[in-house]
Amino acid sequence: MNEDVLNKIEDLIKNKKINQAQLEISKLGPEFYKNIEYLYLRSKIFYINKLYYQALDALLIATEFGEHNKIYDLISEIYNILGNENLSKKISNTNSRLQAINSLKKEVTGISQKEES
Amino acid sequence: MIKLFWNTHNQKKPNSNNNKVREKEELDYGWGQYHKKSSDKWIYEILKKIKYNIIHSKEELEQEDILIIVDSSVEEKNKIYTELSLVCSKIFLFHLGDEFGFHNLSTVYNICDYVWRPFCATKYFNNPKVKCIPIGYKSGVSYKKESESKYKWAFTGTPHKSSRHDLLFQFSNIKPFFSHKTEKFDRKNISVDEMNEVLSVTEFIPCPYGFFHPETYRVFEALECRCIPIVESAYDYYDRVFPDNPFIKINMWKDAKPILEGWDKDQIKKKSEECFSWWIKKKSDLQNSIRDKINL
Repeated sequence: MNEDVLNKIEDLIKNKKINQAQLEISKLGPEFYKNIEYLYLRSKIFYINKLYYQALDALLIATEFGEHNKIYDLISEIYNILGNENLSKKISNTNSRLQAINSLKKEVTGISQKEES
Repeated sequence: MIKLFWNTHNQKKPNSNNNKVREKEELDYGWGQYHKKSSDKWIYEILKKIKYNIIHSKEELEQEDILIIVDSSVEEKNKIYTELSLVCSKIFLFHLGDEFGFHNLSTVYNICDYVWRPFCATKYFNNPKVKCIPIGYKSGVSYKKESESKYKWAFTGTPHKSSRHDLLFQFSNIKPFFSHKTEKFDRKNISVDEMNEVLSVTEFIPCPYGFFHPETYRVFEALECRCIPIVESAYDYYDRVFPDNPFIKINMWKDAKPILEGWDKDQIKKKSEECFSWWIKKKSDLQNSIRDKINL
């Protein structure tokens, strides 16, 4: 069921129906808040709307729940847009990304789900 | 008679055996104290054009009094507001806090004749009984006498989330600057005096979003001390709440770098004066609108 809803939102994003995707994702409740796919789609919508910091926050939270290349790739892409090319490169490199993300999350408080609980 | 009752710090002392309830009680208690300590100067300033007597408990109310109540965590206070409504002819609420806006406040808001609150949300934009006001500055923040600027920009606060992290990264080469990072909200802050010293000699204040809501004290402290606020334009929050504001708005902090690095003294002075004049007028308009509403 969860997957169906998220697939539908993904299709909306692919078909550039961003407002509709945003509306659908906003209907989802707390049971999704630790779902990597949900966090990725949220950040994708933020990214398309040029809300880069909101997108990054959602992606960094997603890294708390698993390791997915598409998450790291989007983080890297956003840091490149923001002008932090060095960090962008470190995150795009599969050998250095984990270390770069962990070190980033130490500096950026309010992301770690451990510190929140 | 118009009476003012500051009720944020009269929270019930945390005593529940239920951990979840106790946690909420502790939060409400802490925030109640914080609002009294941090917002009294601001609230008294915007109430400057009203004549009222300050009371310290609801027992000092008499039948038909008009009550101005400054409060927080009102979602837990339905009973008090029902009692107040039996005595007072009118109730005007200044609702502090509620950054997250998750609670259902309709019971208390419906009892009140009018509500002013910071942390605006879409549901309040067209609400005829609620007006969003600036969160204002923390008590004690004020402009020191005019002197040469010392810092290009300044940031004090918690570097939470990615915007603040990027802001510090982007601006770190723009010197001279003042930065004081705190580990947690309201912990190991610099003193208000030091804050005044810094802000009064700083040109630009980057004002990233708060932990949850776009609005922070930082914007209004910058204005109070004649600095130029640079705000994030995501969701057009500031343009929606303060439509004619002269703040510098950016999507990414790197967009502000050419301004910080490139503006000459005249440009900075002109913008600073524009922001300060706007703030003075904003405060005066707010005082007038509150006076008109309460004295109606």
